Amino acid sequence: MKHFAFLLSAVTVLLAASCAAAVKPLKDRKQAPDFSLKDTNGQTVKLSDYKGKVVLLNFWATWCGPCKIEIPWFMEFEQKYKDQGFAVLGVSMDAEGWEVIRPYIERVKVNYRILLGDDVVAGEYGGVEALPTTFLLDRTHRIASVHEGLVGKDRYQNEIQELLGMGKKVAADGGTASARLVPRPD
Amino acid sequence: MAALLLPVLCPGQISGYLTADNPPRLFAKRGGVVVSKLRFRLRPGYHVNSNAPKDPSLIPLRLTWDAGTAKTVSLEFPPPVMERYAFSEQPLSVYTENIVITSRLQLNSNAPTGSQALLAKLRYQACNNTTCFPPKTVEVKQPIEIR
Repeated sequence: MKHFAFLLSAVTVLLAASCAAAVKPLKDRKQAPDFSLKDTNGQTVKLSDYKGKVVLLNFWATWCGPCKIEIPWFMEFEQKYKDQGFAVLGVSMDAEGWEVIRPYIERVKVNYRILLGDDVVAGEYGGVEALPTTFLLDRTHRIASVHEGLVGKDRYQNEIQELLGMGKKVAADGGTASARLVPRPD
Repeated sequence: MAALLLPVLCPGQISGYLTADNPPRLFAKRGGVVVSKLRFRLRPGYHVNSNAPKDPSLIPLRLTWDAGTAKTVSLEFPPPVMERYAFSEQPLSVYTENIVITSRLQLNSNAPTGSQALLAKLRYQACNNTTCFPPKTVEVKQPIEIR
């Protein structure tokens, strides 16, 4: 019985840990590759244009259902944190290009920059075999976390707040809990 | 372990999340009509859109035959299932298990005789409950003896 209780508590702790913010320690972060992609206006956009900002880099596609769940969250984050040095970049992997991307982003009124991805950039980011795949980059554009597939909104929010050096952390149930988050010198 | 055994237990034509069984040999005369039944198996926990998804942004299941030896008379897909997922507000028209697609093919009157193979390509786009994967194409060779 004791063993079972221990196992149960260990599993609970592990689950709790996996639900909490999961940004990597500074020493484990690798530099995100810079890239050069076109946005909806045909403008060339580089990751390095966002120097000094925390960037949420989301690989998605219009045919990807889970991606469409996350997009409204990212719109909210863009609105909420843009003045604190945060930006969302959506990299669409639609092979059909702007013909399918543009109607979708206009209909949903996506408020952040959408770029047309390619296999070269996807390859530099590990292949991006699954969508959505989202990279959270710290202010020096080191990869602080990677999420493959649909994950919780609060998890993103916690990580963004941690990278922005904010002292509040959103609880997994959607409420706000106190957390000892020390601003990072990123 | 199961993944290692899969090619041994199911010697088919494997591509990503969907495996094609090797179809049995067909027999036909030049100019004749044959019926091919291709069976595909999905990896457990995954689904593919049906050939007629309700959401036009989703990528439908599509089977095409190489037109060199035969032309496609008709294709028959199995009835899809309507499934709701964590990411979908509306149920999606999908396949979740085995998919058997029936094709009626008319051989060209000048088709080469003897032991041949007709080439079919199935384009699919798979997802699981949280993640989607780029469209893939699996090729299947339908053996046929043409007289």
